[in-house]
Amino acid sequence: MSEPIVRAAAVENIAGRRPPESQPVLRTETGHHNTAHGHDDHGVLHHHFEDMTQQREATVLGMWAFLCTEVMMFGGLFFVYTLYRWAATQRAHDLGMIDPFYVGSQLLNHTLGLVNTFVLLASSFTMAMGVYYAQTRNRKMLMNMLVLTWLFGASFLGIKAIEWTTDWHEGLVPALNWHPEHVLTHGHHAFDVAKVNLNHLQMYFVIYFCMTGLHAIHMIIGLGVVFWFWVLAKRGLFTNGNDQPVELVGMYWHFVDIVWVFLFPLLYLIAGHHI
Amino acid sequence: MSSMEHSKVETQSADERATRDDSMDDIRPYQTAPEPEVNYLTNDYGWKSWLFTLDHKRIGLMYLVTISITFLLGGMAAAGIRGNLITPQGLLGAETYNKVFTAHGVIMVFFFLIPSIPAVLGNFLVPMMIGAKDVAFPKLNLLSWYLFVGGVLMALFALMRGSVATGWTFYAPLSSTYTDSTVVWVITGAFLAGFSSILTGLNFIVTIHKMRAPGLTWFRLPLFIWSHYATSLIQVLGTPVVAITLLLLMAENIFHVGVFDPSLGGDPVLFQHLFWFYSHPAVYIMVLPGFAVISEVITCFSRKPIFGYKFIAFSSIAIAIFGFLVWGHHLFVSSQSAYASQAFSVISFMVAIPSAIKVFNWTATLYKGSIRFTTPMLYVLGFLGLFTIGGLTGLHLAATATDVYLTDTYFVIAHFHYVMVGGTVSAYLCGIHFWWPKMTGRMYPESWGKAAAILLFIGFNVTFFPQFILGMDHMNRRYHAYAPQYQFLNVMSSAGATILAIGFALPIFYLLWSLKHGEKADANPWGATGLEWQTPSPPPLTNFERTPVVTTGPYAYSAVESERVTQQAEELAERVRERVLAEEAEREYGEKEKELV
Amino acid sequence: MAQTAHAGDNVERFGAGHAGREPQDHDQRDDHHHIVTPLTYIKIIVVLMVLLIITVLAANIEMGVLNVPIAIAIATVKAVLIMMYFMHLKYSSKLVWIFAGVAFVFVGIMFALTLSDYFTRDWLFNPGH
Repeated sequence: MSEPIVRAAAVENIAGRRPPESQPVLRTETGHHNTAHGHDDHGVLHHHFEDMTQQREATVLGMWAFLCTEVMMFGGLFFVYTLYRWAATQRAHDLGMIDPFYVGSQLLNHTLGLVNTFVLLASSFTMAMGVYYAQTRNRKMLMNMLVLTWLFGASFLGIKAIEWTTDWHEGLVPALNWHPEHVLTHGHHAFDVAKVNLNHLQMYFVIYFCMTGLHAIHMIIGLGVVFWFWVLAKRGLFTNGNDQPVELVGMYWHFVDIVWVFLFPLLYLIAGHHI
Repeated sequence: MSSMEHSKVETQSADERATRDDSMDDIRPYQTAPEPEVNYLTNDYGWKSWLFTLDHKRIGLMYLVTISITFLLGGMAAAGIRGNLITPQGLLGAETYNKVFTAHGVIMVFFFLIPSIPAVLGNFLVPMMIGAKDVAFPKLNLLSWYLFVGGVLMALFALMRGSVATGWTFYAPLSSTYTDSTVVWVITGAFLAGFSSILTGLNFIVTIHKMRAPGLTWFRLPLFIWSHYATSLIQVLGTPVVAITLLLLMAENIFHVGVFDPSLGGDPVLFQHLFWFYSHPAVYIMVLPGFAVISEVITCFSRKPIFGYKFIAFSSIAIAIFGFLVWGHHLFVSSQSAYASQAFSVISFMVAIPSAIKVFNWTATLYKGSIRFTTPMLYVLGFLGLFTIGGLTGLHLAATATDVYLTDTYFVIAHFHYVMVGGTVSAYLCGIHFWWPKMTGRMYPESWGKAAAILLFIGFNVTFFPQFILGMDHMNRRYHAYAPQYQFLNVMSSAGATILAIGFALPIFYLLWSLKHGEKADANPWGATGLEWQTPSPPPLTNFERTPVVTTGPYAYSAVESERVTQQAEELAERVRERVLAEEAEREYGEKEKELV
Repeated sequence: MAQTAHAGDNVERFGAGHAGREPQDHDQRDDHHHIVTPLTYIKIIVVLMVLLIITVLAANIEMGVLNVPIAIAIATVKAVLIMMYFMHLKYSSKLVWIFAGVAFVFVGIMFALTLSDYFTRDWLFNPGH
């Protein structure tokens, strides 16, 4: 019964005091700055929530709902992949040609792909450890974990950049620099160009670049957020009981990792025979 | 009389007294609550307090302004269409006409219908109806408005750049290979509007799950909330698919990569599958909030609890889920396999059932109710008829055999306008009028409201009913010219469109007028149930002074009725008592005077 | 502010309580202060790395049509492990489980119904196919 009055009083008392930098200074409706600090180390309670438990549960649900939208979005691309892989493989089989998707996957660098997968899994580990250190209020270790996560993520993107540059040089970028015949005949794996449907091979690479590209965009955004969180963690923002945001970013990061866990076998590890 | 009434009369301006509509006095005994010092409109001033607001009510109003503008733009495009079709040769050339109907479709679908009720009424009312102070993520809410405005600006930019002639459905390879890059701007606009929609839906889902007032269990929720929850499910799960589809289309248009281009091994039907996977559930995003409004208003003006609460609640969820299973009925003539077409056809018939259940339940709510023909109620009654026609004609199109004949004719156009305009837009206007006093603290002029509702109903039917006939006569859609035998009905349709336009334009004027001169409204001018009516009009910033605790279900109108009757009886008894006392006093005074004399 | 006796006096107004949280939204497991230990994380990451190696090895074994389902199955196991332990699903309520899983159901619908078109295209004679 007395809770809202107490909280209102708390806001009254600190009205006019400059809010800490952690709170983006948006003018709130009443002109009172949103400084409803939990005085008891439970983190920052936002004004429209009744209590911390409600806030935690709501924000976690909100992040899962957002990840639902990401699953649906990537799901569309996975479907495009599935359809065209099925169609291309069928057609090649019917006509006695080589499976273009197999050819495409052979033209990628499997070693780099595998290394990238290890790197991303490691980054998920360090991110999870970051959440642990936020929960146990270890500021230094949280910062270290965020740095490691960032480094792993950046390595991933660096390796991806190498792969893409190689693809460019080999003429494997659809529409922009597409002349695969050279690498097909002179690459590590030699293929009989006549037995490869080049349109379908191009489709493979379109899908490859769209999927890894969308994934890379998500990684870049993730790296930006992790860096920003490192800055905020340095100020002790997440090790005073307010560990929730780190958990939420962690969930996003793990999701991006899960997408790659599926992308790797589907794009790189396509089995097939030489004909 | 009592001093309270005396002071009430004094606080009224001459304007208010003159325009006061007393038709509702028996259920809404005239009174004004003393205005609270601060409501959500007056607590802060200046453009920053609006553009940086986190208040769901202000965000709802900003959406109201924005989509009124987009509705106007889409309406102008509609005028272009109907104007062109007066003569068989068409007043516009083919390319221009194609651009006009594309603009009409894109604006109306992405920038009007999809946001309309959820973004305006949903944003305003969902937290209030569940007794919360705001939505779960107010900053995301504000972001969704900015994304929406960004999308509108993109689309406007594309319009000025020369627009596109692909139809709002952007079928490949027309929109990828055979259109210039203006289409990329339009698609980006739709993409941004889509994310706006996703954020709104996400917000509602979490808000409804986690921020209900104590005692407000799921089955005590107003059906407005159930319907918006179902809408939000679709927004969150469906929109991302069209997002990625549009991205692929952009890549195709810019880079010509061949995802949908047959000459490069792609499949244009894949675009259709991915596009309609969202766009069919999208029509349920448009209509479910309409159902939400209808459920609230029909109970209020029948003074009866809703018939079959759980059926309506569950049918909303059923529509949301089943709506994801039927998109193939847009692909019957696209080389989709016969087996898939049959499956989609059967499921399309099934998805009509929950909608029908709702219509039956609303009708049963009317039965033996005490009906008040207010403006919102007129819109509701119009909705019931028009949506039913729209829904039934949908079945004509769900049956593969008849669809093969009717597809791409005016029958389809008439069908979806019956459900979208006769359905959603009617419900939207109904909701605006019903909750206008709550949002603004003012009543709109009732007779103008009724006139607009009637004009809309007449104008709508004269515009679109002939199109069913035109469609059965196989007049093709999306053609700027037509065979001369169709002219008579086309002219009738265009004439109806002018009446319809007046029906749409009128509310803009009298609603704006009411902001200054409308009668001041108290907390509950309609005598409705629901938590939103328990706070002043307009509401204070945090909606409720203290978090309400709910102990009964919604639509307790029988209780309200008996309470109102009791209260009236008491007031009458009080007046009689006063008069008797006054007469006695007079008599005594008269006798005393005689004695003195 | 004065409120006249209107519809809705069945709603009592007093102070805040735990707003709108159902008993079924909480489980034994729903403990926001449950902190997963580093040891658990280490165990999981080791399993994930091992599974990754298995993925590569399995891809090099010719299994015909089974290659794809097996690769996806292993990836799914990895994804589930990440969701359960790194994303703390194991320690969350049923409601969160539903949120986590529902999108996959709808992706499944998209796959199933769309492929039902493509897979059945030549079940009937299609001229020009």
